[in-house]
Amino acid sequence: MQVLKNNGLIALQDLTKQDILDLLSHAKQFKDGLRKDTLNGRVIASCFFEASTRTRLSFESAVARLGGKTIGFADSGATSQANKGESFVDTLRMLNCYADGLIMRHPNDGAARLASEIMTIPVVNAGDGANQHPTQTLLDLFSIQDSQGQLDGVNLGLMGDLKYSRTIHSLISASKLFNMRLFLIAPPELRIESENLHELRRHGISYSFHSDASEVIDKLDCLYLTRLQKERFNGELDCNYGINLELLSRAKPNLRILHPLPRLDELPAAIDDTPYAYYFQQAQNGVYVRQALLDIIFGG
Amino acid sequence: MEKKIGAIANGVNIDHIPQGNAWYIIKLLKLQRKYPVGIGLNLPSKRLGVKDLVKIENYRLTEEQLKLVSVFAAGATYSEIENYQVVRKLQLTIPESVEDLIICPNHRCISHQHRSRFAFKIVRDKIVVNCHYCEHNYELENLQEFKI
Ligand SMILES: [Zn+2]
Repeated sequence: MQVLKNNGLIALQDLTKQDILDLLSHAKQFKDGLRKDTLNGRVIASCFFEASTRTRLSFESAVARLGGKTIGFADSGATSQANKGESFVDTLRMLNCYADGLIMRHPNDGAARLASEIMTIPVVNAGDGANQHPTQTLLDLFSIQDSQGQLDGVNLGLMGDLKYSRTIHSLISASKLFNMRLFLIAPPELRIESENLHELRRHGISYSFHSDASEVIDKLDCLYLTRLQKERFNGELDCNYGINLELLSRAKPNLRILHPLPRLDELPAAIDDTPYAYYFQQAQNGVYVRQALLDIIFGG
Repeated sequence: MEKKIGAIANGVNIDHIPQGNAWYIIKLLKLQRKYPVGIGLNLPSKRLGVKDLVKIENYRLTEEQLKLVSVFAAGATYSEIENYQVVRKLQLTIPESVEDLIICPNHRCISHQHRSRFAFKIVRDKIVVNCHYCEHNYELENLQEFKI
């Protein structure tokens, strides 16, 4: 994990498969009750130039559980960057003087990479525009592994906006490292781009297309469901999007449903009380994964 | 190394430039009004079909300039001439990366607020550039905006 130590995390592809596995097993230790105070006496800047309440609270919880303190802001509206036109680079230089590490969300693609070049303190990318959100993918991988006991060989259904969703693209990209079988479920308008398919083929990943979850529900170990952003397609969809209890009557007993949240009607609340619901645990796993990441970066 | 080239006694000759790219090279070198320049556009070429050509008298390119010129002239031949003799000749190849030359077409890319950096690779016979910041890939021949 030398790549992370004192360095931070900008993009998932900066990690090897072994780095990821080590991080996930460290996260499992935190889930099993490991307590550490690696960040005791340290100040971590939690700077969200774009609001993302879940991600921010998850990170800040992880910092607090490691004994650290956070400073920062929840959205950029109140910053001097917004009000006085301070340049982003100057804001970064200032933050570098105030904190021992930076957790940053930013609306522009590549902002975290730039921050890591300007700053001497470790930078953790909490989402840069449409580009990367590496801890989301890590917590997704952790949730698949923790719910199925493994990553290799898992039958993973990916359902949603396969064309534009950063969460799904990133998970597909990570699936190349693990020998997962992908079931790509999407309305025709939101099918995966051929460039990404080319990548999957190059890595020998098996996949198939489906327009409806009912075609494959009896085969899946994990179903990763995402909400559709209405602005991505014009008008109505031709198909039923989402899942329901009736569909789940044909599911394997080990099926677990993952969802990055927030949800819309694709994931009815009626499913929350079934053994298939894993999305709240998934959110909780996010704290363990971020604890593990920060613990490794700050040398615990 | 003794071949005579055109009317240039001393200077450089950049031949086999992909058609349409001579202008980028002239702009990039910021020659101002100091050096005599000969430009050939749309010349017949066995290798390329059609090519551009640039000759600059009493001039040498620095290594940094050669790197930037290579972006617009991959495969071109660069010759330095002294007393009508070619004293140095090399074929230009795409650099590994360039800073602050290519303007990222992704409007949300942070490179617009600071500096840009692109890496080069060949994908299925096309030159593809990859933005170091937003990670987008583009075919070089489709790019139109440069900081020159
Ligand atoms: Zn870019």
